[in-house]
Amino acid sequence: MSVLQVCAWLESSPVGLLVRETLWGFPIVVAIHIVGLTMSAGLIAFFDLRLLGVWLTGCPVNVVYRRLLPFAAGGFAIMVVSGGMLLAGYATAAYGNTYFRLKIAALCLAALNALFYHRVTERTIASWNEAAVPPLPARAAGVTSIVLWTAVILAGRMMSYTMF
Amino acid sequence: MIDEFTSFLETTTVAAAIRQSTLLTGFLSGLHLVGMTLIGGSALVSGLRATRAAFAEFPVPDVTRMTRRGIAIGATISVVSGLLLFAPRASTAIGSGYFQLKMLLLAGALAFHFIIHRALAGRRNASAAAMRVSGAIGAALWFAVILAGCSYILLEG
Repeated sequence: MSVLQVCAWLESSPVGLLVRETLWGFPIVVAIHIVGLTMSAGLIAFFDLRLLGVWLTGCPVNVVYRRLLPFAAGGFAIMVVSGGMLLAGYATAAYGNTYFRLKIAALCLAALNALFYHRVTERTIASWNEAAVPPLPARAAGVTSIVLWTAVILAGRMMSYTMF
Repeated sequence: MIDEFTSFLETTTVAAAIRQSTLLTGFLSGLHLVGMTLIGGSALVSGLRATRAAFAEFPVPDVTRMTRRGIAIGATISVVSGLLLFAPRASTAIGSGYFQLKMLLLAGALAFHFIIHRALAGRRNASAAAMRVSGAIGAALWFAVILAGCSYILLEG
């Protein structure tokens, strides 16, 4: 089955039809997607600010992470489910859209950045967990995260203006 | 008078440049969303502290020093990008029911935040339950603002 055939199948699914062919399906799902984005990226930004040593420097880095994670993860789940629904509605147009590919690339890079931080940088956290300003690798992870999530948001909005 | 103002706005060089460029319009729309994400994230962190759901062991100012800055920066980005997005299509926007609803809801959300929510947050004996209810009402109002904004862009944009 080719990618375009998968896209056509998604678009003909009940979810795809709900998003594409009902008056309120698309705006409501987009609004939910934005709420999910605000929760996840908005909270991740505050963890990044802790990594940069500019917020709540009296709180250990891993404690800030543990406190924000449940809410950020909830927002991320909302974003993924609603994003999947939006993709189902317009899969073919999205597949051919440059900004959609940029958005997915930025998301993948953000995930890789997070993975690298947790698997590599965090190995030495015992020595800097309570430091007001974490070491360079942690700060770099914070900056990279902020830049990539900003790219996700900008590319996502550009999709709307170039897909239809 | 409003017609004259919207016509003036639409004929400015800035408005013309934005109207003629999909890239610029899309970028400004993205910035508008970045501003909103900053506001939302900051408000969430403040809310988590206010309801003692997170960071309860830290003094409120330690938590909100950065969230206030986040809200201020996010609001600045949202207002500036919003005005730039409004300028090229001012007369159409003013006449749109969805746009009017968004502005009404925005005024309502801001009024609720500054008159009720902040007054409640300023009380020493405000219960976590009351803060949660206030937070939930505020969140519902802001979701309605987002939905009205999406409706305007997607159904009339």
